[in-house]
Amino acid sequence: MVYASKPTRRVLPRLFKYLIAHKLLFTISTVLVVAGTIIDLLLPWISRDVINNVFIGSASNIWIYAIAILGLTVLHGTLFFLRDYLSGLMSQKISHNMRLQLYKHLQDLSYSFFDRVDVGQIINRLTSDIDTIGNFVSSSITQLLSSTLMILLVSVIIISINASMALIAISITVPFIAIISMIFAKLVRPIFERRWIEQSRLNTTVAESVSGFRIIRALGIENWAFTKFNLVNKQVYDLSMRSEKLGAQTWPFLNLVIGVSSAIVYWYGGLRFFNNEITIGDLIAFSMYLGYLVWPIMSFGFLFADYQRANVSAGRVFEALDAEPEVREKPNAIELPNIKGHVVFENVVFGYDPDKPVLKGVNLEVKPGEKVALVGTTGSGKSTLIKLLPRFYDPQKGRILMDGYDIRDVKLSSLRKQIGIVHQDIFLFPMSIRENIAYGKPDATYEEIEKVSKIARIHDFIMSLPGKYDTVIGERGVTLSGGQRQRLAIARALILNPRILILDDSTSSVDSETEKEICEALKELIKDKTVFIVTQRLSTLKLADRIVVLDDGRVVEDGSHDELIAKNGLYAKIYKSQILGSGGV
Amino acid sequence: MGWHIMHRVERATDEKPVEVPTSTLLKWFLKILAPMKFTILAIILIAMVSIGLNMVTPYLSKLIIDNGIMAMDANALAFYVILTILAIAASALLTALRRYLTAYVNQRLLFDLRRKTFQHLMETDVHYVTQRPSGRMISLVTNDIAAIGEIVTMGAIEFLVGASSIVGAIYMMLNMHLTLTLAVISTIPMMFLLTRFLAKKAREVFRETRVKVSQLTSSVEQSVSGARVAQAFTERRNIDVQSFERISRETMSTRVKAILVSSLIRPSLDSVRALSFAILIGYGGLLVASREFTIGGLLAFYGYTESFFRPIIMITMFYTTLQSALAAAERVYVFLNTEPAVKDTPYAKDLEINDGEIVVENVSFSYDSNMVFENISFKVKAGEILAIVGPTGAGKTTLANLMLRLYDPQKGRIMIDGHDLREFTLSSLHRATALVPQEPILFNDTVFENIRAGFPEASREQVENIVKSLGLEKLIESLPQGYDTIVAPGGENLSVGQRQLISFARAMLKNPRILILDEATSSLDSRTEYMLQEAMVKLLKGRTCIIIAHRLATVKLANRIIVLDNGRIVEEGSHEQLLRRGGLYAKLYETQFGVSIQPSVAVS
Repeated sequence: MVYASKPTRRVLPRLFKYLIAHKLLFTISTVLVVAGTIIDLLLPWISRDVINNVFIGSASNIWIYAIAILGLTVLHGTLFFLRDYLSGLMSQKISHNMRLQLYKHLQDLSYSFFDRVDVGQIINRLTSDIDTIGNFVSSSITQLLSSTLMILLVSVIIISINASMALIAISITVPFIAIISMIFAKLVRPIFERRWIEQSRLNTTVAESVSGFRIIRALGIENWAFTKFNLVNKQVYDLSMRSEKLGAQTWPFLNLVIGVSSAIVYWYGGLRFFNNEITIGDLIAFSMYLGYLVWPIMSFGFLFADYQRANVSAGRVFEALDAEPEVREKPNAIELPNIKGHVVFENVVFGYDPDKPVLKGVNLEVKPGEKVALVGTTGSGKSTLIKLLPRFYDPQKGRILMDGYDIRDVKLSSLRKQIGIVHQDIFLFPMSIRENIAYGKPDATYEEIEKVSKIARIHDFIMSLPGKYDTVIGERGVTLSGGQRQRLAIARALILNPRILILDDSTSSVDSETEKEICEALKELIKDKTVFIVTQRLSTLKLADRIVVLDDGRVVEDGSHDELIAKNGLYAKIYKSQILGSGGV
Repeated sequence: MGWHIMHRVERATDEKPVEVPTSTLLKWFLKILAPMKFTILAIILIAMVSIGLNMVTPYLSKLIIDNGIMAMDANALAFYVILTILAIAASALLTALRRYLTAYVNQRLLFDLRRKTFQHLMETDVHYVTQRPSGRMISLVTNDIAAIGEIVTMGAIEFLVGASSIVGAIYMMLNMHLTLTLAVISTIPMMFLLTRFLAKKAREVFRETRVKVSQLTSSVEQSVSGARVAQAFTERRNIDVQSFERISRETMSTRVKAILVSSLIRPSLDSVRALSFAILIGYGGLLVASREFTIGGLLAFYGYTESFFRPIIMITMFYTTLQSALAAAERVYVFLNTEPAVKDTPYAKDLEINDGEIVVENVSFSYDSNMVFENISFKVKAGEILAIVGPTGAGKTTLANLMLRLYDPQKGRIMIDGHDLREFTLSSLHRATALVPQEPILFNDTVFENIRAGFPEASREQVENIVKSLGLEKLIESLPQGYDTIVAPGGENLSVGQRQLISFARAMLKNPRILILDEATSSLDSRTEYMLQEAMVKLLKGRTCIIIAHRLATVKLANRIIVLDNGRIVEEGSHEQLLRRGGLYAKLYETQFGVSIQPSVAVS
């Protein structure tokens, strides 16, 4: 999926801001560029003097000239070394700051952003896009300055040597080069944009193949994955080739324009020399200066390409930076005080796609300390409902109150730190078990960690590992079984000691014996907490003192186990099918 | 977003600079470039002709000055000017062609390398891949390979071209003036030493840079994958920002070091060139003043000096890019040369699985030093449905991994239809088997394509049939665009239950002889699961099936149950037998159904 919106167009003024942030470095680089360029231009001048001297047979001071050339070159080299280093430093600083800025912004973005934008795109933005921008802003802009300066100064010098010759040279070169560069820029931009998208897809495809690696291997569908990958790979290749082809058709001809104008200058200059209107030294210096135009003019071409590339990258980065989190804190949001845990869903309507609501008007009041089990068929909206509590999404209609506060009126962090949630699919971080458990409370003591691990019935297992609590978990926790991961996630939620605890089918992979133990240990801990339990398992239901049955995005039944069984509705049906499924005890 | 420990993990696995001898890498390049040898040959030919032209141009300028201008001959002047224009035009055309061909070789190489790396990835051990941050693989396929690409653009060809223009330029100069030539080229050894020194430095810093880039990519990947978890833990934010800042800062400082080295190169080489130029001006000027040499000759010498220093500088600059490319190539090379432990044996054959009888014989297995099984043996009869139950961590999933040969046991063997798994080619084994894993992984594609992934040749009709036979039409209908609904990255727009059902259909579409259900329905509500099981009764006929489950309701389908505890089989028998026995199974069963909820109420 491609995050479909037009990239921001006017990026240059914004890029300029990043440059301003490093104005000292930028100023120094600029000064170095100017000084370096002037030194550069002195060299043909010296050659001119030498040639004019030796032409008349005078070899006086010739070694002084030679040493001057050497000295000036070394000085020039030093200046350019400093310039390259400083602009490199600047580019890295800009990239680093931008990366951090984007990173922080990503933290603010809501679930829906991550539903929409794939991993590859974000990786591309945070790595290569930002590098492209950093390089462009720092080196390309000093390069632009130095090239412009060089062209201006060379023009002034050649005009002062011989105005009519300069006029000829300039009138041949400038229009041609301008036209070629402009055409190139116009054609290359859409190619860069499409290549960016394909490059991101390439990243995503690899990321996906790595996360789904086991199933790909087990099903023997390596070829399927490979075909998918290679399709994108081919796209990247085709688009790269198209931009390369464009480059091959453009740049050599810039050289041609310069070469031809230089030859014409010799012809025209030669005729002037016959009439003694120009010295041989002037003529040679003139053609040397003309040679000095080659690189700056060509660099305009490169700069155009760089600019186009940076423009695409910057558009993507700014697009992410400009993405407004859909779940946002109000400017006047208040700190949610420590709550008792009274939760009200008031006519809540929500769909990931607003046209296809998953929740179609949920009304539900949960009293402080109540334990509510949410039951319903697959896709009935149970998990979606509880995702609204920590404001991972905001409902399209209706509202949710917590101790009487609309949750949209309070600060996100004050809301979320009072809610402990154990997700349905567990994501563990590739760090030690200790760090995973203490993820939300990094300063937790060893005792606290051990306490919650014991409640989650994972302590004994952890102690059986060679590294105990310092054992590092494989990326997706693959060496842990599903049940072990769920138990770690329970411990991770418990350590926050939240007022509201949400268990989203979080013991589905735990064996029933262990589950029973967890439930018993939890009972004590959650006595005064409000708890939402999404479960498929009747055995977990016993933690709950109230059962809410969802069907097709609405609450259809609500009551105790016995009441609902007596009612003989959907709950009774679900209940029976599990009992029947068990072999009919 | 939490990956603050990323770099520690990187250290824990094997992300350290690897060293592969340059000669090995160069040989490898030659090998991967071999299929494009004719294009490369054409590029070299074109380059040689261009060099010829480039050699002529300074000489033409000498002729313009000496024979045209100085001799005051307008006709000769016009003639040489026209010749010069022709030479430059021809050279531009050839350059365009060469650029295009070089780009072709370059992009083609990138394409091939990406393809090869991905292909190799698909053959790599499950263990290898799942133990490493996935950002590492992404960085390898994208960043590292892109860095290798530069080798060819500026690379081997530029080197050859450069070397010949140096020889050509020196030859032309020698023809004009011996001692002046020797004086001018006396700086070459200095240039050579300088290049070597700088290249060595560059290699070191670039190696470090590549590791950092990979780490950065990993940490970004990790943060995006864990973004949803991190959202719930607001206290975490600052720590995550700090650790990201650290890794980003480290990347920055490594790169700044690399920049320091690479920005030294150009100025130092330019200074050496200036020395040659000073010698030319000084000594050459003296020669002209004493009429031993012409001004046109001096100008031509200037042109030739340029035309041999330019390639030398190019080669040196290339040599540093090469260091960056070599550092990247090392990583790709090492990956491509990692032999998977689990692969087709030399005696493997494409075997058909007919009966689907599975025998596990004295199997021992451990992950690193963690023993999972010791000497475990059991048998699954053809067409039998066997349930494996047991506490979490008992080794059930590992058993599934072994039976599919995703891992090899350290001791003992597993046989299907009397053949050791290692006698099967992996593709023939996986063609006849299917796994429905605990964690349903869906791809960012349509629901239809996700189901079809199990059997990519399947038609729309076959997919619809399997969905119907599993009773899942309702599920598909409930999705916004039915079969064409795009599964969001990570499957976030579907519930885990829905994902499990799709993953189930995907496995069944393969029409496997042996089916392994690893907690395949753990997130389904009991009603949906019940309906699915009804459908399964028919579908499982004639297949060998292994059901791994905690929810004993799921076990109902099985003919026989094995209870696994601590890597050993502790009980075995039918549901009734095991209940009667009153062991671990009975205990598990009771806790699940017997305690607070009175089952008898419901059944009545």
